Amino acid sequence: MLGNLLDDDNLRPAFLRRLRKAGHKLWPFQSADHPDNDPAPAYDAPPKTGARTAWLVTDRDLILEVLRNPHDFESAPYAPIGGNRFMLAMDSVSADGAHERQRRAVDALLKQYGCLALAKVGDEAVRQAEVAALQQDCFDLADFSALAALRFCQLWFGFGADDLRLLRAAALDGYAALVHQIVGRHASADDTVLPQARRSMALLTRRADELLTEYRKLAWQGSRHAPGQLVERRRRLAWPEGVDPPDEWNLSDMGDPLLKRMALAPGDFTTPELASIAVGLIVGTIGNVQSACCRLLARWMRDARTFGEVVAEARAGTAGDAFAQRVIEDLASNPPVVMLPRRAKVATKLGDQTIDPGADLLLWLAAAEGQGQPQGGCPRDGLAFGGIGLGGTPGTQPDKDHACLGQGPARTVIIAILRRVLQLPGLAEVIDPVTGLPEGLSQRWGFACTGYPLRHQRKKRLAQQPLNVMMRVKAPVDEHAQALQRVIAAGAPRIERALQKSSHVHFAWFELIDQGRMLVLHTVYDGNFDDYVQHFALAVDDLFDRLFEHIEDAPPLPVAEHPGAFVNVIRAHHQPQLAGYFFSAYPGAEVRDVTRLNRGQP
Amino acid sequence: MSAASHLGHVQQLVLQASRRRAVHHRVLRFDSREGGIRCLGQLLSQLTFGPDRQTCDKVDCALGLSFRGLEALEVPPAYLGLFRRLAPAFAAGAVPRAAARLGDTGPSAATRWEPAFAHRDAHALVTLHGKPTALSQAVEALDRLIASIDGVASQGEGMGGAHLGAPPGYEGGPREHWVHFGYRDGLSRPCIKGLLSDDVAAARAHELHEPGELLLGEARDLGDNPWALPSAPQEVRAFFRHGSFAAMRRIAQDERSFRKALARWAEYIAGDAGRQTDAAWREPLEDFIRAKLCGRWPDGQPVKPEHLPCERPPVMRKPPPMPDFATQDPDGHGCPFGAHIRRMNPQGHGVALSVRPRPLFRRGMPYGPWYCERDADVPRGLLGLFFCSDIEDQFEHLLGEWADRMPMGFTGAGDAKDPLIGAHEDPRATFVVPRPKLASTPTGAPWALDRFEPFVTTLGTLYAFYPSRLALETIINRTWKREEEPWLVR
Repeated sequence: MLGNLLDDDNLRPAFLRRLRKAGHKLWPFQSADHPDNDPAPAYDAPPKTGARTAWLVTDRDLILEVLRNPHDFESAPYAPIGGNRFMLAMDSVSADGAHERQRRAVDALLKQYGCLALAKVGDEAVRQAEVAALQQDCFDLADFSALAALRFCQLWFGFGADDLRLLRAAALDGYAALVHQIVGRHASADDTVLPQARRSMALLTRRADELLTEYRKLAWQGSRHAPGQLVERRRRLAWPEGVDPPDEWNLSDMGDPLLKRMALAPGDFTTPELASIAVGLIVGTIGNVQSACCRLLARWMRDARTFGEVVAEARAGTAGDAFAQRVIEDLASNPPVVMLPRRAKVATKLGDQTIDPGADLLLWLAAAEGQGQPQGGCPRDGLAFGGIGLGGTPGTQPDKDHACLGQGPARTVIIAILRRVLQLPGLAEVIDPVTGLPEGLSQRWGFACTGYPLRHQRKKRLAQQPLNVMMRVKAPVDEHAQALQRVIAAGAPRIERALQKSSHVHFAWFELIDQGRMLVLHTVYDGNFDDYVQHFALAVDDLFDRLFEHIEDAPPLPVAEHPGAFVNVIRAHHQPQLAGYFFSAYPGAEVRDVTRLNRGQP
Repeated sequence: MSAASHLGHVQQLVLQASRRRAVHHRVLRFDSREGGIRCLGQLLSQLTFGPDRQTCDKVDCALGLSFRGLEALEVPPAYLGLFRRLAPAFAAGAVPRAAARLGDTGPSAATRWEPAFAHRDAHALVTLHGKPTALSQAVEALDRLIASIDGVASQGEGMGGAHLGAPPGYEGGPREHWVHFGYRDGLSRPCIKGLLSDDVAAARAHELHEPGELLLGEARDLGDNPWALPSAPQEVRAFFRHGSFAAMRRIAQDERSFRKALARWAEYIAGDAGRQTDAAWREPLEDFIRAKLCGRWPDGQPVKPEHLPCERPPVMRKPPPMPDFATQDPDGHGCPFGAHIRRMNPQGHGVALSVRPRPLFRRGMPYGPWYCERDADVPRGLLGLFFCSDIEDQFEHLLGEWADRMPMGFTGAGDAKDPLIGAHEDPRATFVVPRPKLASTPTGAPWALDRFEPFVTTLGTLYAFYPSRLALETIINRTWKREEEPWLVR
């Protein structure tokens, strides 16, 4: 029941209105979850049955009371995710002060990074994500922002590019587990979430541990191998295998990456402790960056005027940076973290209710928005999400502890991602072909974004497109392959003229591969596929007629009479480039620009 | 007029633009099949069919059906399947295709379109043309008709427009066809063969196309006939034959920002010529830029390589047709490559058009009054109605491709979108104006106009099928050919 009310984007606001109208500051609900301190109870132990009372807290003052009283309300619900070493699960009042020690260490580390240096890492991360993820018109902002945030963590922490897989699994599975522990477990059973997260996080922790050891070792011995190598190679050998030196991406401003700094100044932490601190930071960041980006953009998209303004700000560059300021302000009033879990340690009076020991509380921060303070005044506990500091209202709580004048690294990467996305040409929401409505933001519990389909005009970012048409040569292959050679050699001047006249084709060549069994036509052209292919169907139609005599699965001939079928055959035989990757040194230039420059014209 | 008697069952608006002064578009929603069919039955007698039978006092009526409308009328799946296969843009509808195919993003995004263009609920488009007085009576009659039938309702507001007449400073009076931003309209009038008398046809030979470019089931300019449906039974062929597609597109024109940009560019060019302070330059210069952006002077005469920024050529009542760019203006010194009409009708480039002509048969009309400072915020724009036989190859290609980037074969510089109708995004994109050939202005680099902003906002687009009388009777009487296959698949 509560699951539906909190998860459904249509029911949730109505539910909240009803709670408010009825004056419920604390609402008891039946939770399906039974917290257990024993992760593997004996098989013959009787199972815990029935529902359990938990509390939904929607009142701002009560939320503050709970958050400020760690003696009576603990963060134990996080513990099943990463075990008792997981930073989020530790309470600041724990007997040995472990949480405080970790928190201080992390704060000190983060303070070492300058704002501008991190912004550069953010821009580079977005650029790298773009190369892989924006090869098509359509993309999913949830995927793109997660990828950019992962790249950011990879570069900033000093992981290798191959570690991206581990980072992604740990971050996304970990975030799913956080969401599950915060709210999902009260509504439904999902025994896969926690083990999956624990495994993925353990794999990343192991890798982080390896890298910490490697960084320390390299600091002692200087390089992985004996000297005598070329300078370029020696430079790489001073870094763990697979890790790019930051200066390779022009990121030397940031100094040493986080893992290296941890390794060289471990304080009184062991290497495994450092590794799990690092993983805790990452897990707490990615999902929130993803949600923050999706929620902000969806909000801006709703209103044409706002959207126009943010696009103009994003395009205006970093001078003055009205855009960054807007992101910070809008994040404060529309934060990605809308719910937090706590558990009562002892019987405690809260409002006019008594909370039993062991009872779970679900603090619905978003519900408390607008109460008390004019704008988003509700503090989110600073370390609740990795301590990287998504921050609340600028200038108020938890950011005062963080470096970067209150702009946490997570914000930096959010700003970088949104700036780039808003600069994309032709940015629009993908529309559902049946309903005609935007597919829109998919989110769980009103905050965990799982998808936001968008589209842009890729051809405006990269004018040129490759075409690789692979067609099977008829048998006997030798005979037909030779005939093809002759046809192309004889027709070359005409092909040349048609290509030149089109002023749309950069390069074109034919190739016989697989011992003459396949004819491949490669071209790189500008603009619209149909336009281009139709042009050739009609400009050198007889040449294609002769080529197709030697090809299997030829379209109906003559080509000139069936231009539509010709276009379809070419499309069907086009082999897209691997992973959608295509490099161009001059992505914005069309043939007419290149030829004009070549002739020395402006 | 030539004997076009075989086209007597085609809706008149498909064949020719109305000569009447005002228009009213109304989108209908069919909440039940029965209601929809009754509505069609009552409208049938009021529709105008066949070429050129316009009398002065009558109101002409045309009816188009969207794909959702055909579904609401429960047209059999086999017929719908043919639309899906041969007219995918029509079957999909304009809303999901707007961003990718029409360049409608940002303020023009389909998510912001007016309710009349709702993807699932816009079922039929009724278009009335007439004199303003007769028209308002016809609109009232339409309202009564809608009110009298259960299961039919108006979707969104009715949309009215009227010809503007010549703007202040131009002779010609109210009967002239002009559009906002200050251009004479209706100069290029593509027409299908067999509709005009021989002498008229000879004079307009460059605008004549094979009937298949407008009507289904006829051969197109390339010689092909995608709607021949050779394996379909006679009844099915007859249903589609001589139907046509239209895109109804309502755009708002922001005259104020257009004029502001004109003034800014005029200042730039005057400054470049050392004439910033020369008041005599100001007005002709703005008209000169207007001419360059469009490719025609406001009165419609082509802008030629020898035309100078500081002097307006004498106004013409009947401007000559566009020259052949390839021979008379190959380098864009007169009409720049990026200009609106050169993009929309890239004749003479041997590439973009020789490969595939893409005529659009325009039946649009402006709405709102001429701009003046006092009522700058009164809504004004264009109620465009574009007929063709292939929405993706004709309508969408012009808007999504040629308005977006220069057509194939163009060699000119500049990366701005169509200066008048483009959805401009990049303030750095430029529209390049080569200096006039005989310019007394200093020679040098061409002028590059930049900081374009979208001067038009799309308020909605609706794709509609305009059935012939026979097809409408089939829908109304439900005399469908029920056997399916094999004509469905071939």
